[in-house]
Amino acid sequence: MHIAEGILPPIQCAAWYAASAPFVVHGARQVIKEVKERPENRLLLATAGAFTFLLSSIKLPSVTGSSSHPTGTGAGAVIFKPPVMAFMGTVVLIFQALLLAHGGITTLGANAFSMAIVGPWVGYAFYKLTMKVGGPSWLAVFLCMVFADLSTYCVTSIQLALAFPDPSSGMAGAAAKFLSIFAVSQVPLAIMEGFLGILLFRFLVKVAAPQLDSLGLDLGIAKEHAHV
Amino acid sequence: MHLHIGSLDDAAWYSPWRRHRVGEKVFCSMSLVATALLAPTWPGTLLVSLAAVAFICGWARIRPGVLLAAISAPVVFLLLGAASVLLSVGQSAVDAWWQLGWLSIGETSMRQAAKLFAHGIAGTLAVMVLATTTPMVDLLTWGRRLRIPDPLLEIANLTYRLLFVLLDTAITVFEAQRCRLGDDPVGPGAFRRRWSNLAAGIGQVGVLAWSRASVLNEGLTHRGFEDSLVTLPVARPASPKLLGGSAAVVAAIWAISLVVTNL
Repeated sequence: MHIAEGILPPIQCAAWYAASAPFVVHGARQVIKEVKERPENRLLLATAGAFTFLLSSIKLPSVTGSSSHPTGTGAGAVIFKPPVMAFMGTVVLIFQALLLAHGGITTLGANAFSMAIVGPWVGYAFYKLTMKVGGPSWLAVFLCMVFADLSTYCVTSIQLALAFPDPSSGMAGAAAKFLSIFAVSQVPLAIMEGFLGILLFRFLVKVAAPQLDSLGLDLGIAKEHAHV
Repeated sequence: MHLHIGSLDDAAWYSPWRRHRVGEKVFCSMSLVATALLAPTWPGTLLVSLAAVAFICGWARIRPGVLLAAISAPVVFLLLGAASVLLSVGQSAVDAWWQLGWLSIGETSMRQAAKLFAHGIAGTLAVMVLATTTPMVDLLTWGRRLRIPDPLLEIANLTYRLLFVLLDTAITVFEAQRCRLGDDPVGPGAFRRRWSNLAAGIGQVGVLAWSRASVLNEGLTHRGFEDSLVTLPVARPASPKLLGGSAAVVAAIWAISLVVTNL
């Protein structure tokens, strides 16, 4: 769920653009550096962007019989690292706004902050933390995917609460309201995205180990996945 | 009415407005977006919506069906968003005229919900002016004039082109999977198999895309692709009519809005 065009107050649009800009600029510099050092990765980066776009267009079967879509940024953060995802996620959001009428231009800063910055960083932090304390790699991937998804929606809820405080309970009440509405669909979806991540990485290790290795991904993790 | 990834882009490729300069269309669309955001909700957002529809279906001659398909999903999201803002939680608001337990609806929440919906629709329609008349490649080429570094534009350009390759690949992979494994696994472990099939499908699309990208990169490197694949921009004549028309419409919207607000 992206915040639609036109619904955030102008000052908040500007504030979210300002908050996102350093991360996106840093990500863009990382991408330029990557392209200069390893030009062969140019198309792989573009593929990652297109793949993220596509992932968010694939409907997932849901336990309630309805369908929804993953954010796809958790997997990207593990493979390409969060700074690159900050830039690629923003490009994907622009494409979604102009090709699918999903999200918007004035709300791009807010959407980039939640989906392309906070989501990948939080997911990646859980991934690294789990690996650091010696947790199993399947758990690291699972937590990365789950928390990348959940943190995106938590930030979106807070952004909406700031824009539309509840008349009786204020911003805190509005945040609780939006979080509880999102929780109905998003908690099961995030858990399912976590399981999907485990299956996805297990599959990638079986068939794309050299490509993962070339990106510096610890194949020990991946090999362990193959035995899950 | 169904919108697929290429619907808006297809409309943009065949739009009569393709002959206009990108900067002029960006000016038209973004001045409407800014007006939708800043003008008084009534009557500003209504006027922006009407102007955007007139630009898209009238002047740019985009089929109304394309616009209807494109706007249907955002309308649903905006209605859901407005409904969640409409309901207050906690102690009943001072101005509440309906309440049920912790939930209430009052004048303030009603006004917030109406503002959200009106600004959302107007803003989305204003962005559609650009989306339905300007293909992404034109926008990316225009980006060079804004001094966006070449490698970034190149990555964005390649991402855009790969979207459609990936989409075709995904359709083929999932179609093949359905033919081979059946559409809907049943029996014990069916739910797990559905998820396993989905993960294998997504992974397969990723691996195929990865291989294609590597092969394509190798081919392009042999043809001297080292920095960027710069294409010659098409020279398009200036259109004072479009610029003037956009400015006049936006000025009229502001004038009417301010007059109505001060009445």
